[in-house]
Amino acid sequence: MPTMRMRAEKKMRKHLLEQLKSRKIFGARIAKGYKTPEQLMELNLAPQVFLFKNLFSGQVLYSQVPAFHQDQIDAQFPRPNWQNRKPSRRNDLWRIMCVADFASYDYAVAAYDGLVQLRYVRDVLKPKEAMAMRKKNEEGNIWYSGQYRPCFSQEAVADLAHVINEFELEGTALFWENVWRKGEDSHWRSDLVDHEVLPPFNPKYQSIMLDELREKSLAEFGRIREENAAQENGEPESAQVGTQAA
Amino acid sequence: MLPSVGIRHFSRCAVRSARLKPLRFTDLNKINLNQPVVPTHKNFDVSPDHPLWAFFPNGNKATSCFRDSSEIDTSSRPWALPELRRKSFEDLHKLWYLILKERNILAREVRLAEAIRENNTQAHNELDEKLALTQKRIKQVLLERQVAYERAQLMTAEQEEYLRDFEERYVNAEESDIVSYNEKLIRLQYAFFGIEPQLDDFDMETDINVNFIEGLTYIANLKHKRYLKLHPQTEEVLSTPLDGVVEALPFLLNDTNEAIQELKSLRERGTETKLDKIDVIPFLKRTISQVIAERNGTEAV
Amino acid sequence: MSWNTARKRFQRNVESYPKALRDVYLARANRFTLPTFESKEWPFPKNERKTKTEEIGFVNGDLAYITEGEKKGTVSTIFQYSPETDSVLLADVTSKKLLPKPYWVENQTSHLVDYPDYVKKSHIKLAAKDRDENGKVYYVVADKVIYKEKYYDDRYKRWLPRRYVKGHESIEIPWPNPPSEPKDDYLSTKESTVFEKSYELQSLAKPPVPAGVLAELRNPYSRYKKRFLTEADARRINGPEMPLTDEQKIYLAKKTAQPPKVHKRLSEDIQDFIGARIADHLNNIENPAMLAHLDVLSKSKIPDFQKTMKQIEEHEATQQQ
Repeated sequence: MPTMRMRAEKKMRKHLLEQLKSRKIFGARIAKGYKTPEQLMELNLAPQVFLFKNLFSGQVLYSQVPAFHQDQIDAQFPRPNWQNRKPSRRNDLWRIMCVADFASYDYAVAAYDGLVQLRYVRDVLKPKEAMAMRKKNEEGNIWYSGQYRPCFSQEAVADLAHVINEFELEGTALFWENVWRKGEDSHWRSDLVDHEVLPPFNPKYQSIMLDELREKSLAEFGRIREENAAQENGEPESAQVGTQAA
Repeated sequence: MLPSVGIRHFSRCAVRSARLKPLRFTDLNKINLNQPVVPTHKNFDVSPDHPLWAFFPNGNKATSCFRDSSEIDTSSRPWALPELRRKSFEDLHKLWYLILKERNILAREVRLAEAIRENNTQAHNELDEKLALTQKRIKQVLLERQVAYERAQLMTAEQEEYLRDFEERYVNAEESDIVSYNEKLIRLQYAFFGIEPQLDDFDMETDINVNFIEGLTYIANLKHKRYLKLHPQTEEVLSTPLDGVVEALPFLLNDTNEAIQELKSLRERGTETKLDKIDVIPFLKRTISQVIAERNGTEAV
Repeated sequence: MSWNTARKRFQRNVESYPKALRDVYLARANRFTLPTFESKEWPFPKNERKTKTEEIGFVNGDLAYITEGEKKGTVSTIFQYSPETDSVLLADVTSKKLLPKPYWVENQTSHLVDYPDYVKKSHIKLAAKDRDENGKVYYVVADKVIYKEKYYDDRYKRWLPRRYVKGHESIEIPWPNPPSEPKDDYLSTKESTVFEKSYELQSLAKPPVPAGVLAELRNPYSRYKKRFLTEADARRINGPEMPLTDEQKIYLAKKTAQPPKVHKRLSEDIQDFIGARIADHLNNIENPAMLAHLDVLSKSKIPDFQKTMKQIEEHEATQQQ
């Protein structure tokens, strides 16, 4: 016999479920939404872009903050298919691949925009061209082992180099989880980019490491800004002031 | 913990208007995509003594990660039991680990072969069986020795009989034979009681034990009895049997005559020489290490 | 093969299949083999395979006399023994088989190749070749072979027994030359190193292996070494006491009600009567073997008889008191 429920009770249950649904968080709250340079500054974030790689499929997720959100996954994998599936949000699957430190907030935001746009070009505007450049197996599909397709992370590295070279983002420092991913030195302009290695970390404490990195970068950025401000005062003839200082 | 962040220069041309290059793509349709960047191992060095090299047949000189069956040892045979029985524990231990390393290499190769769908691992399997057989035989040899040792511990009646017999022969030995008997005694004290022939070889932690005390008492009594037999008219002080390790120890450390002198002085002084059970081993350790230090000191001088 | 033991648990144990299933399995396996290379034999389980030379009875290079099949009555050379099927490959027993091109060996020109056939070990007998005084070759076929004293065979680098034809033990069948000299490979140890002696028993007081190693040689947690039985074990060993049936109870009650049985010495008359009967019987026996047998039998002691006699004596002693 079905349990009897009062009408009020039913209403209450429905209301409660809605509440629960609306309160569900799909990822880190800080990663929700697009961040302008001003917002980054307000949130006390450093001018960085974070590249997370998916351990399961090899896909790469870009983020402006040291965390990620379902919205970013939805935005950055616009045309999922059987070879390029929309990855899961599970945070044990995403491991940091590279942290890019930029010279200014404008650069960081521009780089992030550029990376997302390049992803869009690869997936939507020029899928055939992108596919032509990927390594294939004998059946003509993207080379894989299990579900892992290494081409996606290689493309992300290529796009990062593309963005930095295209916009000439000088004073960039890239912190690699493993330096072998940066490939041949010919891909990078040495006057623009410094390559370094992430400190060794326990994956369990990845977020803590990223936060420490953010703080360090922020402190460095503040120090440079003060130095420049001092130079500005000493040299009044240079009228150009960085947007951050403005 | 964090590496130092490279010095970045605050960009003076960061203002968009002043930049030669804009900070965004003008037309997405005209973008030329870059080729994917293939990772390369040239970006880092591998230490030549990285422990994982032990999983490769030639260590860090390995040129390939998989040997096919023509490169695998097929003609050697496992070690036989009689061959292993000749080897000391240290040698067997070494051999065990050499085999283990070789088996690890083979296991890695077979695992790799599975991953790359290379099915021809028959030679690997056969070699591994040979190596495993040798390992089993090493265990067998060690167990045989242990069992023999344990059985020997139970043969107390035979041991006692032999010791009694030897005592009789030693005490009644001719003067001309005594040198060879003394040599025999040194071998016997090591064989039955584990007393090292050289004082310097003593391991103070493990060698001074109940066995040692037993052996010491036996040897001292032996020598004392022989002395009494050779000198029937001795004073009353010397003729009573030895009592305790304090009286027995000089017979192990010194000549019989010196030991007798020492015994005499000990007994004439009339000091209490009987030790409590708990004091025996500490006393022995202390005295023997003193003697060793003294002898080494005099030699050094 | 030690690396995939863990996976054995998930594999089907083909060796323990019953006959009917084996046929099905073989038929399935043969779907993927070439038509002329079908396997019809079920391999022996590992513990039943023969691996020692003495068990097998011959080595590669021996002569064999074939007793069954097409080549019955001929002598051929053994060049391989397969322990899985307990059969041999002989030099002259071959059949033409079709081989597709991808499997061709070097210098092969035809699809048809001579391929050796397996001959059961029970279908061959060991043979040997010799010359008589006139230099004529003759063969000896051994129905059975027996082994005698061992000798060190330098060709094989091992101890081998001499083998003789059973019933004609003057005929020795020598072991043939090994097909190839034993060679050193990269894992071989030098002979001098192998023969170097580094262990000699010197002392009964020193353990031969360090204490820590002992736990690795013997399993200290072995369930066969348990000194104490668990309650479950004890219950399994000691069965429960069964309740008695009514009949049993009645019988036992009757039994206790009766006075205990008392043995008494036989009276003189009865002893005489029994003795006379036995003497009569014995006097009629003529067979000396039977008499000797009875003589021995009379000396044997019967424990039950002794027990009864003891009871009688005790009873008499109590009576006297």
